[in-house]
Amino acid sequence: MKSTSLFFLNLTRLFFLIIVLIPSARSADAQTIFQEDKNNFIALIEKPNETASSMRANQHPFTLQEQDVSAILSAIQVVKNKNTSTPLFTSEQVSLLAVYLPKALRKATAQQDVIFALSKEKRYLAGLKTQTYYVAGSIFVADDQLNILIGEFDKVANKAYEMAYDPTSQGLIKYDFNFGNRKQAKFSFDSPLSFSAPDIELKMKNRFDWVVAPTKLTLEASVEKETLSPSNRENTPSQKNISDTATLPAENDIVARFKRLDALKKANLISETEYAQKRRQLLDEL
Amino acid sequence: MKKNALKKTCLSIAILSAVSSHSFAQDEPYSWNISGWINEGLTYYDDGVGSDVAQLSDNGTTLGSRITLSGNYKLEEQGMDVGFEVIIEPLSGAPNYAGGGHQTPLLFANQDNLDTFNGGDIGLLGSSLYFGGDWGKVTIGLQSLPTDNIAVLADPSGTIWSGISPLFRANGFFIRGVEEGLTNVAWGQFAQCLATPGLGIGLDCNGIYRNGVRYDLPQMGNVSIAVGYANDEIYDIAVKYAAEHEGFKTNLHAGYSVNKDGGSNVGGNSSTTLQLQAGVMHLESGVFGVATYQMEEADDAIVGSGDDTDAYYFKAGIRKQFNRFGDSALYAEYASYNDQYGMAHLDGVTGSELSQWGVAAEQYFGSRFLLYVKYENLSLDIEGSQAAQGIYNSAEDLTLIQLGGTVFF
Repeated sequence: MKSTSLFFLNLTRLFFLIIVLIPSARSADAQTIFQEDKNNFIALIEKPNETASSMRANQHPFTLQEQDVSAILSAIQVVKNKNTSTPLFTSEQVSLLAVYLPKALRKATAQQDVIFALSKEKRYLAGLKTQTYYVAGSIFVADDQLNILIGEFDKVANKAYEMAYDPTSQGLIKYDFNFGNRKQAKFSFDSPLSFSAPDIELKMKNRFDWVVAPTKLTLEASVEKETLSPSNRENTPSQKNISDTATLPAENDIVARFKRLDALKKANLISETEYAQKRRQLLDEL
Repeated sequence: MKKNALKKTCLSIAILSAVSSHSFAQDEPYSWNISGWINEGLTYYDDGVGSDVAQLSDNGTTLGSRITLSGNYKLEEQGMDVGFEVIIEPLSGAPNYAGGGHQTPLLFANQDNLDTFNGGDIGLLGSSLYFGGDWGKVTIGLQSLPTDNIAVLADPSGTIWSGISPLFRANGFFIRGVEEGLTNVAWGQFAQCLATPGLGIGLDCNGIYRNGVRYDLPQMGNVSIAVGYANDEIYDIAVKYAAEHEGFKTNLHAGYSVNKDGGSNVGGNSSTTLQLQAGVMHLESGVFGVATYQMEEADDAIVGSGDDTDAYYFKAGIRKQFNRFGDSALYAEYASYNDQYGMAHLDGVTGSELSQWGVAAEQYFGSRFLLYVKYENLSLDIEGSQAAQGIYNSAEDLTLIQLGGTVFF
């Protein structure tokens, strides 16, 4: 039995050697812009070598306003059925992207895309069951448009696998996310989308995973963004006519700001003191 | 009547707890969770003498069906997280097993008792509390200690519900063809762990839930380290490395445990176990490979016993999305459990190799459901006296085909 053992021992040693050498021979891939844990991050990554004649190179670095990002991302709805739709991004996710996407685009080179993976939690069974879902994709500016590729929507975290692999919940699990592709993939995101703001559209009619929006939304967005406050976004009817709600009551504005403040605190983007100060300011405005 | 009243009271408490926890959870940094998986399978076996088809539950203690109740509370002022975890196992039962039926079925199922696998019970797999912060995390109670599964889960493909390094399936099955009169020698007899007497799984030999204390150090980049102490005088340390580099996902695990609790199944007073596992996966193509090694030694063991053993496990395949249901996986595996013959030296055995190879196909349906089909073969080769060879050289191979499924929740 020892000769067999020796053979396998040498084989194992060789395998371990190869495994150890792989990481040292390769450089780090992504440039992190924001990271909460292994599955919640916004990063820059070298864009894939996809040659699409219709696409020019990324126009990076690029300056985009926070409110524009917020307006665009808030306006994308995933249509569940005829009567209901759900936002592609939660208000917390929009807040994070609004803060970090402009930073990322300013930092990005023409060869880089911004990728993101962000979670949301839903509670069931009167709060006894918590389920985590992820949205992931990539964003870049090209052809004077903000391009959003949706790779995953409502990808379910496998809590069971997390428990098996990481019994003391140290956050060791890293999911393999699909960040979307310029070249249409066989099994890409294919749920219908609707947009509750003007000029946001699908890049191609037959692809629901590629959304484009004009990058110069500042003037429009300053009007529209409030229309897209979190309180209004839930269950927004598909193909909602934006002009119906172009002017928003101040109450909704303040509610949206409170929610945004909460989201920033939850994401640990502001300290307890900053949160309290800002909350006081908002209360004073009431 | 009293029983019904008790049931109603329990139900009321459960509903009230659920409702109150809901409102509580909205306002407080508290979260509950119920999660787990149910794993069932239909197994065909051919032991060289007979064959049968049976429905078998579970997949060993690591991956057998379980329901986990957990909760945590963020003590923001103190900068701490505290929480608990209770894991219960729905055991389909092995009622005629000498231990009384509260056992994970596949570890103890054999050709004779398959028919009696009815009914079942609920067992407690783990129960622990933890507290942690920036300085790490301490877990106390009946739990998975650091080297539990250390040579199991560095598999970047995640195809673990159908194939892992320990000899979970069929280790309770009897080896047929051995000399008449010497019956009831199970395959697990040649996959004996030294760290855990009586556990015939060959690899992951410190892989049972134990009462103890575990300390997880804060993560250091891609490396995580944990140390543990379990009743009584069992120490272990585990190191995990996980990273992605240019499209390759890499996992490296190493674990070392010392069991000074005595009771080694070869009569020793202590044992040591070294386990290593490495896995790599090319994310774009889905091609992956896993290699595992374990070495065990026992001190002051009975002369001639299997007190110095090793084991290997290799797995290679592909996991990729080929259809719109979800990922599909196809892989082959090979394991070699060497000199783990334990007290079979009494039959004159001086060396043994239990080989296992298999091929499997998996189909995932999102993250919630998995179906798999697996073919595997076990064979035995021994060295020893003429008497030993006379007994074991005629051992028949065992062939298993399993169609199984796992639902995650």
